[in-house]
Amino acid sequence: MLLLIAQGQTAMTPSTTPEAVPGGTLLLVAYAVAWTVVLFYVFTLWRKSKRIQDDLADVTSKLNARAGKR
Amino acid sequence: MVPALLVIAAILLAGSPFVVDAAPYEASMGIVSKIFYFHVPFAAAMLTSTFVSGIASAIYLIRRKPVADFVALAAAELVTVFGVVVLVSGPLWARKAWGVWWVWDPRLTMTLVMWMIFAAYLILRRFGGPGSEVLSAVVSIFGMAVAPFVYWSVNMWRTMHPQTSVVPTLPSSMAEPLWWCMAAIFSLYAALLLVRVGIERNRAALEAAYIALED
Amino acid sequence: MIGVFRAAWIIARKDLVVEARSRELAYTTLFFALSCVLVFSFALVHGAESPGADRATDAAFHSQLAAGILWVSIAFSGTLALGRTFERERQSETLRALLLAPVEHAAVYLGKLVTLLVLMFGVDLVVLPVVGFLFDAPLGAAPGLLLGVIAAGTLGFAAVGTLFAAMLVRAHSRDVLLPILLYPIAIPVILAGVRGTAAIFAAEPDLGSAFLWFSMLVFFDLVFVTLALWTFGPAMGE
Repeated sequence: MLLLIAQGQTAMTPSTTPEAVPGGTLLLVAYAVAWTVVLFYVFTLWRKSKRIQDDLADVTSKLNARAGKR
Repeated sequence: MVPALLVIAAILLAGSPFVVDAAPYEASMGIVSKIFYFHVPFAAAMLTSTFVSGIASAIYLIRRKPVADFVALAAAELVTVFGVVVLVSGPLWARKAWGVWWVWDPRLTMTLVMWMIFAAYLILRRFGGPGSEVLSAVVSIFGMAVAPFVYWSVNMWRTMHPQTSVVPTLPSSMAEPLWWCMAAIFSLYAALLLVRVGIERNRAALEAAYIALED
Repeated sequence: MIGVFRAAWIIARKDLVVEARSRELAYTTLFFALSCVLVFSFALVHGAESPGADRATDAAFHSQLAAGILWVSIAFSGTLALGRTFERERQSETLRALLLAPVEHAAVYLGKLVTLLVLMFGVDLVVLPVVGFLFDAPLGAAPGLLLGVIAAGTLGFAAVGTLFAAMLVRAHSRDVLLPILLYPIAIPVILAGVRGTAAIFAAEPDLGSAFLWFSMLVFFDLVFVTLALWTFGPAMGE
């Protein structure tokens, strides 16, 4: 279904005014942005996960200590 | 499950530059058209994610299962993250092809509106105060429902005023590299979704632990 | 005694430090601005006509401008009306009382919707002649269809708006959250409304297109009202 949407419009030759910026540069920038965004997101996930794991270990040990005392 | 997905995603992604490089050049646009090989999969994954979030939200609204809420949130985050990639790579291609940064074509427009809706979802979650889980579920459901309407209305508008610049399709000779990239990016998506849901699970466990500690 | 400027600077710095921690004002204000840009784009963006028809383009732009401004005012005034209607409920806690009453929650939603519609239709009927006057728009070209388009669009906007405003009654930052949540979802309604109105206002009214847009709006209304009725109960906590 997604490809149907992707192919929903007929191919036409666009009327182009040639751009000063070379296509290769744009491609590189696009790749760089994609990788940067994804890796940054993975990094934030890792950081969040680490913080939660640490806190969880901390609280769990406190709970166990209290249970041990009783 | 997650490590397996990550390995698959890593392998596919590592191979993708070679696969894309081997693909034939598209005649009129040259190397820039290679942006499509990841622009399209990211867009497809983003759209899938809007439906994942909407459906999970509906389940959460009806059943109030916490895991459904976690999935809805994770999917909403991925809509915005993948959406950034789509909304940056699209205009970069358009700049080369038509000399403008943006066109109001149905697909780009739908992507932009979806991005705004799910970014608003995240803002509501973060700043709405207690009870935002339920409210954001409604937003997500409406977001999912509205996606086809945005596409439909912009499409009707465009067909009434035919444009000189139309987003072209990929000829079928380029299908194989596209499928490779689709598989790569969808496995990345699945891995990220599962990781994010796991984090939410841990966060919920942490909150429960804090409450237990206070007793 | 501290000088004026020094005191001002201390106060500003305090505010900025507080803001830097939560970034709440920054994000919500930014997204409100972006939502406004989105609404304005759909209301005012001009589809490129075929080149060489300059005079037609001018007239087309003019009619389109009138339509766009009409719908932007409807959206913004509607948002204010939504906020104020539910602010009253919030202050007297009457919404909770209504929800506790032995009536179906759908009745609460519909009642609120009807009130808002009466208010917004009243506003529409005043703003329409004003726009017609200021932009020389042909209100008499197809008055029935014009009123139909405006009514259907207003209903679509109000249907989603009533639901969201009710949901946000007890939320933090509800004033800015309402437009942030509502505008992107109302985009198809605004687009169809603007297009339909512009088709009627055009130098040569395109009533066929206008009717198409009107039908689309009616369809949106059906879906939005139905979805709102389904989700209102669960959202308000039943």
